[in-house]
Amino acid sequence: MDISKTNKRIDSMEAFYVEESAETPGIILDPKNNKFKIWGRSFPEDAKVFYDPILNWFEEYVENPNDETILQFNFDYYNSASSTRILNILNILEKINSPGKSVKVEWNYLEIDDDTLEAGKELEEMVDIDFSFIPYQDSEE
Amino acid sequence: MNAFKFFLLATVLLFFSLDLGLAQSLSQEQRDKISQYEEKLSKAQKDKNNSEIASYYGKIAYTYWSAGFFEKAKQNFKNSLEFNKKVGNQNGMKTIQYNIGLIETDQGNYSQALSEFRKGLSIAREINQKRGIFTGLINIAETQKKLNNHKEAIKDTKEALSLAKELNNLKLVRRCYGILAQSYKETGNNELSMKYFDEFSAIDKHIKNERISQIESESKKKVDQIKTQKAKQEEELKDKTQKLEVTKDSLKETKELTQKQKMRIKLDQLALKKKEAQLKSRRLIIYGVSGVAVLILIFLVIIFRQFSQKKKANKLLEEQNEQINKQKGEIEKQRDLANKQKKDITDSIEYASRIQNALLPPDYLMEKSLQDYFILFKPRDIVSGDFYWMTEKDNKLIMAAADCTGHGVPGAFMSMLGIAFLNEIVNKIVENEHVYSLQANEILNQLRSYIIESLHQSQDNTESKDGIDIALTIIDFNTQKIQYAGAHNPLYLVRNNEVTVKKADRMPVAIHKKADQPFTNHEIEFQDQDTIYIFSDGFHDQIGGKKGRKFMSGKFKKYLLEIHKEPMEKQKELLNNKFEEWRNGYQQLDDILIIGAKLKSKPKERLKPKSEYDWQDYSILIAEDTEMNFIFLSEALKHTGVKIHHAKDGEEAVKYIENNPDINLVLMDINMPKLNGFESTQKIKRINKNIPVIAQTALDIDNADEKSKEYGCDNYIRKPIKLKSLLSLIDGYLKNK
Repeated sequence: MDISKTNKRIDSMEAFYVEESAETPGIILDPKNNKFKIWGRSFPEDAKVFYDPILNWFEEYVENPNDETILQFNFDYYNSASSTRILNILNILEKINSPGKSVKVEWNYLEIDDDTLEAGKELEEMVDIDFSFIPYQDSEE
Repeated sequence: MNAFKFFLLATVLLFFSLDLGLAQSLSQEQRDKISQYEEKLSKAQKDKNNSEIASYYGKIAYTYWSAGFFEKAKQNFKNSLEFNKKVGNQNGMKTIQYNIGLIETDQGNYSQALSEFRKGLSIAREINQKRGIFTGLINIAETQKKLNNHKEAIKDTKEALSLAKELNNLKLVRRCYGILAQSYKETGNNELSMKYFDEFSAIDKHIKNERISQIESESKKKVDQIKTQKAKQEEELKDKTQKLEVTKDSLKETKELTQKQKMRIKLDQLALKKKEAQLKSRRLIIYGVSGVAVLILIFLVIIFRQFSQKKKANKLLEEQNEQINKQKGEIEKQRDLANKQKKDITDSIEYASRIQNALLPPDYLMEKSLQDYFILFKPRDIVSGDFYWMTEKDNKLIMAAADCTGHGVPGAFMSMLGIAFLNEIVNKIVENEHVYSLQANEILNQLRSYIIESLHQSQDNTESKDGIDIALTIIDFNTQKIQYAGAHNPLYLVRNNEVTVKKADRMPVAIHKKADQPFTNHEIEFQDQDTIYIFSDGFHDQIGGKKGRKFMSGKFKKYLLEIHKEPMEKQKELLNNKFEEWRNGYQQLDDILIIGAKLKSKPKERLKPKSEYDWQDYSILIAEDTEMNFIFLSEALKHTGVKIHHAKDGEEAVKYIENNPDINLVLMDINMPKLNGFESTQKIKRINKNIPVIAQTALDIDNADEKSKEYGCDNYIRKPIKLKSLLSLIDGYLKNK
């Protein structure tokens, strides 16, 4: 990553943080430090209310994205209402297609969690974005 | 003269009381209501909106009536009646007639009341409104009773009684028995009076018991609520009391202080007196007296301050109490409202769940088809977004476990759609193309079209992507084959301690990027004692355990393998226990559905045909372009066990014969598009001259016979087809072979 280039950006968007809770994922969207991460569980009472600000943030972000955007997911669980919103995020990121700009998704999953892997594979099929699937071992089990 | 005076007095008194009544009985609220209605009334009058006019007159009348202004109420009802008549609102007219009658009764004008009730009754009869007729009859009966026309009262009540029974309304029946018991008593018929009284008390007891148990459960609930509420309020009160205690303490301190000062003053006084005695100096006396005066003044000031502080404290206490009471009232009001709303909502959802449960396949059907199976069905809420579905067609069992987007009420809506669609799709396939074309994936393809179409889903509308995840199997006990097709939800088959997973397609039954691709059809041959499982993701996606993780499908699969040899009911229990153990304190996130079934191969026995003909080893091609005729023919031939194939026009029939040499006979419709029956027969005979072709024709022409022979038909029948002769004709050709 070209740090000098990133630092030169003076019009970087404000970072967006959401703290992780029992029912909603943790979110870091920080263009300045080129870090985009969503992790944890997602079954909010109202998925629309929770994800709308995030979708709005991405809508604005794709207007002027970093050269390389890697969105990292690390979900333990998400419900079907959330999966629609996650797809919406990817559909927005798909719009980044100007030369010199790239988008990738890094799909992290617990090695034994086939369901999360499957869910990622389905998303991969549905959008025009490169996915890499990264299994990790459970720390204790 | 005296009489005149008395009359005068009475009149004055009457006016006075009326006047007083007006001032007293119309509350400000009622007056506001009336003037509000009057305003709307005059607007309606301006707009010439007759039904509005009728409605507002009625509202004004009700308000007057409830305040006891009978004449005004009557007048307004009569106005309302006039306008209801204009707009033809018979139901409204009926009600108003009854109301006027009731007012007349209130005023003691019984014969007038009677005539009003009768007018209402005849309207109710005209519109055949049973409840209305009942009310009219009872009103009349009650009035007749007042007029001592007991026989009349009995007659009307008996009619009302039969209506009440028809309406199956116990309370109404009870009322009739009550009137009958009284009226018979009045006519001196004690025997009948006793009989009806017994009936009355029996129903009364029943209703009251029901009411009592209802009240009991309600009041228990209320008591519990109030208990918790009280505990909360006590807590608050305790808090407040503590605050007051602090105030009290400081008051006490002040009091003690003054006591001390009092003592000191006394001591000072003594000392002064001593000095006075010693010095006996007048000047000193004066000083002393003034000193005492000053001290008394200080004392008074202290007392006064103490007094006012106490008063202040009392006032504070009062204010706080008042505030507590006010808050208590508000809390109670809000609580009552919330309770009522919650109860209303819960009631209607409970009712909905009864409907939903009624739509699930009944146990007897499952038992008949599967014998050894279990269904673990644990909705998260009262109603469920998961559902299971099953039907049996031609010795094939079609079974599905489905999971609609969401849970609770939205999920339940989808599940109703799913069930209805599945029924329609399967029935249509069976009717139109015969059971041999039942394909698991085809059912899902069609289900997807139905959902996309009915929910108006489109690729670019991101909001309505609700859909169904489903595992659908068709178990054919004759061929010992299972078909499976799945959307997200797989099928597990356990055989010889090994789990085979049939993966589902990675798409839902809904609009999707891949919605134009058909679902995959899997076919598995099953063996005796194989166990299959289909399920929603509710179990393995449940969060729980020590770390608050998902159960995960890998572990789920392992657990099924571990328990698959247990009896089915035991497996259900084990799964349920496992789930509760895993969940351990976490809320259930989604509906849960697991179906397990042990498959038994049936001994291969020939289906006993229900008809006198047994054509199970034969195949017939029906060339018929009219759907209705084809259905008629296939229904007629179904019981013979013959395999039926369908060609929709002449060309298709010829091609079919070309590709399927095992067809034993052709039933050929003559009047068909593309290639008519005669021409088709000619071509078929060129392919295989031995295949019998029976023409069926609606053409009532003389040379049908000749023409049939000319083109090579072996025989022909005229429509409308006579079933018996058709069957014997076909049998002849099939057995000749």
